[in-house]
Amino acid sequence: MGRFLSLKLAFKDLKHNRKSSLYIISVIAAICLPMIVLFSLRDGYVSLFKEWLEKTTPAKQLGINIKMGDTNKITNATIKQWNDSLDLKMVIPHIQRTGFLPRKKGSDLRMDFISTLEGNPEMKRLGMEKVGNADFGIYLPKEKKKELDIDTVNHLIKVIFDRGGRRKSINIPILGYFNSNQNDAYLSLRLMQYYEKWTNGYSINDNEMQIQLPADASRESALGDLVYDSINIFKIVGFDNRIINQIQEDERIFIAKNRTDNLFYLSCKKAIKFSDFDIETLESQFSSSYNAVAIPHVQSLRLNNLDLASSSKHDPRFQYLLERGNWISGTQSRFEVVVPATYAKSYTINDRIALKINETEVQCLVVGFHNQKNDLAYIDYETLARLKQVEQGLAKVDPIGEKFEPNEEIDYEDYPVSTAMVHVSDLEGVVPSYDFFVRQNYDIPQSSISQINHYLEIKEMLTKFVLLLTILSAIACILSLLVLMMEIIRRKSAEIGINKVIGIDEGFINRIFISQAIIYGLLGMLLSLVIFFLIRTLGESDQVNSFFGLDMEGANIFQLKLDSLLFILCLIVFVSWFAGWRSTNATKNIDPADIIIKN
Amino acid sequence: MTSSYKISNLSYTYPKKQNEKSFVLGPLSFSIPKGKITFICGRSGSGKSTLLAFMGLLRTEYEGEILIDGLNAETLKSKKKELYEYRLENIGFALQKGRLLPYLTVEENSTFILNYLKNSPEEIKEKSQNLFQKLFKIEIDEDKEKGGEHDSYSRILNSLPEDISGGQYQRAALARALINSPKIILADEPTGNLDVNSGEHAMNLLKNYLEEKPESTIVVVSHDLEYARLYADKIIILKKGDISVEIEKVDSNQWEGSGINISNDDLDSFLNSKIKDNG
Repeated sequence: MGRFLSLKLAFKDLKHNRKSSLYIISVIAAICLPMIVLFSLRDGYVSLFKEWLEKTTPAKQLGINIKMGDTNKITNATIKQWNDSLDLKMVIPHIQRTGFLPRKKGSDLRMDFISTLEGNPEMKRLGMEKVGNADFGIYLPKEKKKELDIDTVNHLIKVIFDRGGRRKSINIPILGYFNSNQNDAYLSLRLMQYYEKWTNGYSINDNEMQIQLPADASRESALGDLVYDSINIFKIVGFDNRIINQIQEDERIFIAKNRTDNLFYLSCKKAIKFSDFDIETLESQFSSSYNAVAIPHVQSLRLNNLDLASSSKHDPRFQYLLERGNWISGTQSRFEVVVPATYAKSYTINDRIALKINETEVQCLVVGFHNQKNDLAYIDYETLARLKQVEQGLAKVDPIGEKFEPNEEIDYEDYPVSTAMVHVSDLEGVVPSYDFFVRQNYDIPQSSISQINHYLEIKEMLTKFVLLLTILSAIACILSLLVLMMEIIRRKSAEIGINKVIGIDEGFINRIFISQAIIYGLLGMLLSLVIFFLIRTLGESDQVNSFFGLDMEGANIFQLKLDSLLFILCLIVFVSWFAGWRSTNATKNIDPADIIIKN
Repeated sequence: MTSSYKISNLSYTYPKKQNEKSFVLGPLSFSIPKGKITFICGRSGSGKSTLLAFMGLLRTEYEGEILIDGLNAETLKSKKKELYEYRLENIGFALQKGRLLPYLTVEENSTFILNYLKNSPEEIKEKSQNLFQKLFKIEIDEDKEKGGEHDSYSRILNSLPEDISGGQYQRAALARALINSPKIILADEPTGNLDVNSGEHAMNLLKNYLEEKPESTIVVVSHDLEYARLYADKIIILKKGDISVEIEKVDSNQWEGSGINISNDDLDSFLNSKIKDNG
């Protein structure tokens, strides 16, 4: 018999006593079956709810926005860090711009172009039909086919980019269609990045779709128009309160706050920035009505020991801030600064202060001293915004020529974005991912977090309920098996006695009974599984599905997941081991001498 | 002559039952010679099975001293594991009702100890084949007579205990006792359920075993004086917990001991008179 002797003896005994073994196995099966059915109902309900949630909502997609004024944009390095920390299926840098598609009849169709990547889970959810296979092209809503007169043979479409009325059209391949009647179209990320760069002043080589630098005579313009999160509006004499109402009527403006009696702070709406054009508009509005000055606000930048703060030559604050010298004017240098009066000990007017940014030293020209007791140095807002681009590695500065130019060493793909669409691998991972992004100080305006929490609550409730019944089943299983095993041991006391007489130790004898209990447990579970799979076929009937309120096609409420099966298996092994182990206490009381004396 | 067992002042008081006098075994002092068959005879309740349980180290709550090949059984009292191991390796038990495991075949029952001791299949085959051929010689001879090739023999080896005759069952139990070549065989009524032929066959097998292994010792507990007269080298008669006779064979016709000399012819009547309650 060799190895695993106790196990083999247990099997042989079980086979020899088929009838009583079958009875014990049936008892275990009767206890296991309700447990398996309950687990399957819980697994089925949870799984179908999850499937419904994933099909009908973009539940696993989180729209991540950087916060207003946050200088840490989303780059490939950021995305890599997210992928390392979370279980994500895909992160798509989000770029969204308005463009046009030519219609069969009438004017061009205004569309929102959104960046996408090959295999975008959201498009799969929208039933995407692939017609092309490339990473450069457009995905269109199925319902717009007719309107756009799309030729199914020729998979090229003319796409019109728009930049403040200036248009450019290119022919690009159609990669697929998805179910939607919205005016949304997905463009491959690379194409959207071209669009973005073109918007920022680059030119596009139509044939090769390559970005060419520099696009314009002035390389600085290739860095794109500056955009601002907020604007300070200054007026030395107090504002009329009516201005607040007037400002808040402007749809772009998110908040207007009276900080001091000579300053309004305007912050723009999410995802919309103030452009130079906006500032001019606002300024003309305020200067005519209120004699106020609008200066874009750029968050301060600390270089050496100075915090560079945004100002301009029109800044009215010089009237009470300037102690000596002149306010910045831009006539001598774009790096003119007004420094604290304490600096007068070391510097005089027209001295240069070297401020190091990245590896370059910028020689700032001291034009005046202000009376504030801090480390603020006022500098032109546009220069400050450009310096910030240098700090982020997007631009390089030539301090001699006082010029900024694009940093051509930047990898094209590293061009940072403010928004990304994050696709989480599993629904269970959405809440931890959501919390992660909140902790990282991102805005998450798009999420199905409340629905997911509802799903998780139901899942937890069902799990608790099933676990409670499982504990009761386990106790019933232990008690039944314990009683049956003790009866077996009682009936086998002579066999146990003779084994002890010939010198077989108690541990070995006990192992036979423990093995037997485990075999009974496993066979009982196997029998209940067979019965369960017969019951499961009932789940395929429409009547049963309607009883459980399911109207999903092909749905079966009886589903047993592998982890549930493994859990039940481990539980049964433990329960039967425990019952076997406890029952072997009875073998201790069997006296081998009785075999001879009581013969 | 060397002794296998040397028992001095062994005594044991049975737990008192209601309305009964307490029964005391001993004090007993005797020795069991090595290389001989010793019969311990007595009527039911004389204490012979209890004595066998002490000699087989199945019980240790006695007073007095038991030396087995010079080893004081007292030293094993508190060491359960060593006690079991000692019994497993040195003592073979041949019991009246065999007590084979009902779910194992005759061969599996007989070789169970070897499997338990993790002997290799080759070792098991080597140890069992010779023994089986002696124990089941009757079946092998039958097969030869029929010109078959070990048909009944192999059938018996592969049968469950419930499917064989009483004699075959007893021989299978004997095989289990002898398979590990123990130096002491303790047989409790080995002929108890058997007809005369089967009983003699079983006793001859024990005798053959002793001839092959003259360093071993066989102790037979029996109430049957006929088998004692035929096969014993020493006879001890227990009566009400005490030794009433302890005699040894001095030659093929003469017995000595307990201060008497007795011939084979008178042995039966002598033993019968000593075993009776009023004797």
